[in-house]
Amino acid sequence: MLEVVDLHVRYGAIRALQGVSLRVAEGELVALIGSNGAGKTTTLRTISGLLRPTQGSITFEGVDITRAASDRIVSLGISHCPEGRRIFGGLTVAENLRLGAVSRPRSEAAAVAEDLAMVLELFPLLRERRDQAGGTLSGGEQQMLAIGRALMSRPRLLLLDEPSLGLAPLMVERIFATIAQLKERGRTILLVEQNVHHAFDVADRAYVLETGRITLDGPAGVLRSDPKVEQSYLGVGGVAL
Amino acid sequence: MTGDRLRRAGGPGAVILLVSAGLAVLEASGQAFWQGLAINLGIFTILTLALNLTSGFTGVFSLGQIGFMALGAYVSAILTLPVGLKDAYLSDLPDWLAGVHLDQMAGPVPIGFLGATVVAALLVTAIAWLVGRVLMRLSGHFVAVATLGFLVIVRVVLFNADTFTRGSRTFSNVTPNTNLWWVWIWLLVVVYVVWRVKRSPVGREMLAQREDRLAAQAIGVRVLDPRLVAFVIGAFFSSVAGSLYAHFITSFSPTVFYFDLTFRVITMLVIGGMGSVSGSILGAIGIVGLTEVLRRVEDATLLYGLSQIVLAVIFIVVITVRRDGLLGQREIPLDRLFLRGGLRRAAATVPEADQRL
Repeated sequence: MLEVVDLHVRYGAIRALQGVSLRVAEGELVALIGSNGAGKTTTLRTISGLLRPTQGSITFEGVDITRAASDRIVSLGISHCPEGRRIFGGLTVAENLRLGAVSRPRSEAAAVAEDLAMVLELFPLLRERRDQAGGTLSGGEQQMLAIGRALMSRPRLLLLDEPSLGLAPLMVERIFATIAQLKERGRTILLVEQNVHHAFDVADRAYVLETGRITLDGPAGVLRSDPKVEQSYLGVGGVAL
Repeated sequence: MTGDRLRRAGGPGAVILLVSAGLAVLEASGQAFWQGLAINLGIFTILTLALNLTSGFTGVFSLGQIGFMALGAYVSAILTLPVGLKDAYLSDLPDWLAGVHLDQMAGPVPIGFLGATVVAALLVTAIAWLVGRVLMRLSGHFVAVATLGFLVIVRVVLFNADTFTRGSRTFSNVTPNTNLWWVWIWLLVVVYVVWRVKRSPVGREMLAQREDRLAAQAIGVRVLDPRLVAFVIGAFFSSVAGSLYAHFITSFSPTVFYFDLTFRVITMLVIGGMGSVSGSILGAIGIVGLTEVLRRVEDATLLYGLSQIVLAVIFIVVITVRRDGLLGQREIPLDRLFLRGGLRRAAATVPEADQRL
C-alpha cells in the first residue's frame, strides 16, 4: 500500500533522513520506533507532503506522491495526526472535526456525517464536549480529538505521530485501546511511538530508526526479544521510559 | 425552528432599526459636524472589517490595504466625474475613459455612483487576486514587508500617472455623493459578508491555518486558497471604503493614502480583537471617538501631535497587556438577545457552535 524507498531529507545542512525505506501493507499496523531526533516525525511529515525529500520516492497505492502537495495526499487517502496533537484551540470540537473532512467534496456530505457519527461513537467524550473550544480540553481529550479529526478524511492510511506523548498512564492505555480497536476494524496505520512497549503490543511489524537510517525491522514479536532493542529501547528488565 | 430563526434575527434586526432611526434623526437635525463624524466612523468601520478579514481571520499581516482603498478612491472618482469636468480637469484622459461619466440619477438616487463604486471595486479585486496569488504564499514578516511594498508601489503609480490622477496635485471636484445612507448600507453589507465568511467552511479554514499552519496542511487544508479569498474580499471592501471616502471628502491627493491611515486602521483592528467582527466595530468606534476628542484637546492646548502619541501608547499597552484586544476572536452574541437564557447563557459556550452537528 505504502512504499518508501531510499528517502533522504535535509534541514539545511542537517541530514535528517539518510536513506529510509519502509513499506506498509493493507490492514497492517506498522510501528516506527527510535529515540529523539532519529527522524521518525520527519519520515511521517515527508510522507504526508509537509516536507520535501532531496532523494528517494514515496508510492501510495501505485501513485507516486513523492512531491505531491499535502492536500492532494490527503485526498488520495493518507491522513496525518501530528505530534503534539495540534488541534485548533480556538475552534470548537465540532469545528475541528469538520475541518478534518476539508479535503472531501460536497457530494460526500452524507458519508462525512456517517464518519462523524463513527468518530463520536469511538470517542463518546467528544460528543459531550462538541460545542466546547478545543483548547479547553485535557491532553487526553485533545489527543482523541486529533485522532478523530484525522479520521474524518476517511483515510485508507493513518499516520499517527506519538499519540501517547505527555499523557497520564491511564490515558495512554485508553489511546492504545482505541488504536487496537481501529486496527481491528481493518484500518491501516503507521505509528510513530517512543512508548515501545505499547507500540509492540499493538503493532504487526516494526522498524527501528537510528540517526536517519533504518537499522532493524521485523515482526513486533521478534523485535521485542531482540537483544539490541531490549537494551536500547526497552531498558534492562523491560521497563519502559 | 422558524420561530427560533426569527428570534435569532431579532437581536441584529433591533440594532439595525435603532441605528437607522438614529441616522434619520441625525439627517433631519442638519448637524453637519455629527453627520460627517458618523460617515467617517462608517468608512473606518468598513476598513477595519476588511482588514480583519484579510489579516485577522488569516493571520497574514497585510500592510497594503490602504493601497486598495486609494485605487478604489481614484478609479471611482474618475468614473463619476461629469464629462465637462473631465475635459477641463483631466484633459489628457484617453478617449475611451473621457466619455465615461457615471453621474446618472435614478430619481434622487445616484446610481452612477453605485456603478462606479462596484466597477472600481471589481477592478481592485482583480489586481488583488494577481498580487495575492504571489504574496499569500509568504508568511510572517515577509508578507508584511511585501504588502508594504505594494502600498509604496500604488503611491508611486498614483503620483506619476498624472494623466489619470493629476499626480501630486489635489484631485478635487468629486461629486459629493456619499451620505449617511450610502455608508450605512455598505457597512451592513460588509458586516453581513464578513460575518458569514467567519462561520463558513472557508472561514474555518482561515482560522485553522492561522492557528496552526502545519496541522491545517496535515489534514488537507490548501493554505493559499482561504488566504487568497480573504485577501481578495478584503480588497473589494477596502476599495468600496475608498470610493465612499472620495465622494465624501471630494478632494484628496495620493499623500492621504499612506502610513497614517494604515496604522490607524491596524490600531482599530488590534484593539477590537483580530478575528472578531463585533470587535472591529467597537475598535473603530473607540478610536474614531477618541481621535475626535483628542483633536479638541490639541486645539485647546496647542499640543499638536498629541493624538498620535496617545494612540500609539494605547496600541503599545494593548499589545503588551491584552494581546487579544477587547474581544479576541469572540463575538457579542447579538443573535441570542431574544433567546431564552439570553446573552448570559451564550457566554458559557462558544457562540460559533454549529447546531447542525
